[in-house]
Amino acid sequence: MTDPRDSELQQYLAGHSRLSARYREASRESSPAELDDAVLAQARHALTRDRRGRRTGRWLVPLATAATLVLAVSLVLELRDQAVPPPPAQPAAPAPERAAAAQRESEPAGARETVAADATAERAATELRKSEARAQPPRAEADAMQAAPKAAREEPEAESVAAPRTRRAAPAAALLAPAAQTPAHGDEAVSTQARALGALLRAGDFDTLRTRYAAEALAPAALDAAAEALRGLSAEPRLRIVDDGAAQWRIDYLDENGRTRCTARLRHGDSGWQLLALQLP
Amino acid sequence: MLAYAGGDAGAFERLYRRHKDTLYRYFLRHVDAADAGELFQDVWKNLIQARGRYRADAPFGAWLYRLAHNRLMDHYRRLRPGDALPEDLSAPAAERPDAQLERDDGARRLLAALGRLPSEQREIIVLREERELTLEQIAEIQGVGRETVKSRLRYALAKLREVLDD
Repeated sequence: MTDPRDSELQQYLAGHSRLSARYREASRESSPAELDDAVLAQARHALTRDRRGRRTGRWLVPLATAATLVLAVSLVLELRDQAVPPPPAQPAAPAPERAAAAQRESEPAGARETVAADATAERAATELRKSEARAQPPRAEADAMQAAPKAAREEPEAESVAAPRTRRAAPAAALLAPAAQTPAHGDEAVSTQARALGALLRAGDFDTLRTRYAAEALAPAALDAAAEALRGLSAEPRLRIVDDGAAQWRIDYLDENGRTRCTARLRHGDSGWQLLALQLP
Repeated sequence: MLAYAGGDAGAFERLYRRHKDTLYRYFLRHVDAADAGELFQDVWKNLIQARGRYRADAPFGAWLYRLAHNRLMDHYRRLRPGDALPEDLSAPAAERPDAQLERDDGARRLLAALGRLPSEQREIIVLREERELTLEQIAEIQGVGRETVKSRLRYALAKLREVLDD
């Protein structure tokens, strides 16, 4: 025998019910005109900002290219100057220096150039590090970084990409690569985003989180559960970041005992960062 | 939405005019008029900010109401921080039919009964009536399974039947 509630449900879903007719009769309110004006103005304003940004953007690319070229050319010139062999005659040099000079003479030119290039590369690396230190991160990210303890930033896990990288051995060619080509989802960027995401979860600021990480589709229950798991920690969570490839990362938020409390999946695409999922272990 | 993301302001206006009243009523069925206005504006603001991320593979209406549902849940959460979402959040008194004298009695009683439903059940009726969303789409918006939505709808219909039978 059919449950009467089922037939009632089927009838309702088919659109043949007194409820629908009466609801349509009752539900007739319209949004106030001042709200309409405000929203439409906001939409137009956003497009104006886009256009202004694109106009500025048109100048930024050639400007950045020109600046990169100037930097690259000057570094190459410096490298070339350093690689010029010393003059052959050194009459006043003491015996050991003369021996060393003789040895240099006997070495192939390529080897001397490598030594000189390495020394210059070391200087260039120092310059690069200084310029990186001068570059300020965006305010929100800087705040997030300040909020995270140093231990978390230097997570020693083998899988982690948050650990600082040594650049001493970077070849000169790599150092000459323009900064503009550094991917937006580099190791440091991922760990910064992971910390910022953790901070938003702990603060329960889901509005900002959804907007910033394109997470409108995430169920509130998942956000609640993750926030709850992280709020239970006495300190900022430690991070374990695993590169899943294709610009996707798995981020484990760990407690002080190294246990995973919550896992997030982040992706970086054309439109920015996206939070794909939040899971509890 | 794609046209708007591409820079066509007129496309947004057409989209807005098509959806604005139903979205506004969605909030009116859950909160008072002042909050409804604020939440309504927030949803459009979020949508404008996320315009570059809209993908045409999902119906715009479902996407819009997912934003609306999330905003509503955040609103409830702020009202009662630390609490689980209560089942019995009833619609605000100002929106109950007592204040809507121009409507006929049956319509007023229906809205009153709707306001007394648990918010999850009420939301299903509103999404069905205002947008004709499918059970699957509503399930996705509420973050539950289709059968849960079906079961909530059965309860809601049973409670509203009493009003309709009077």
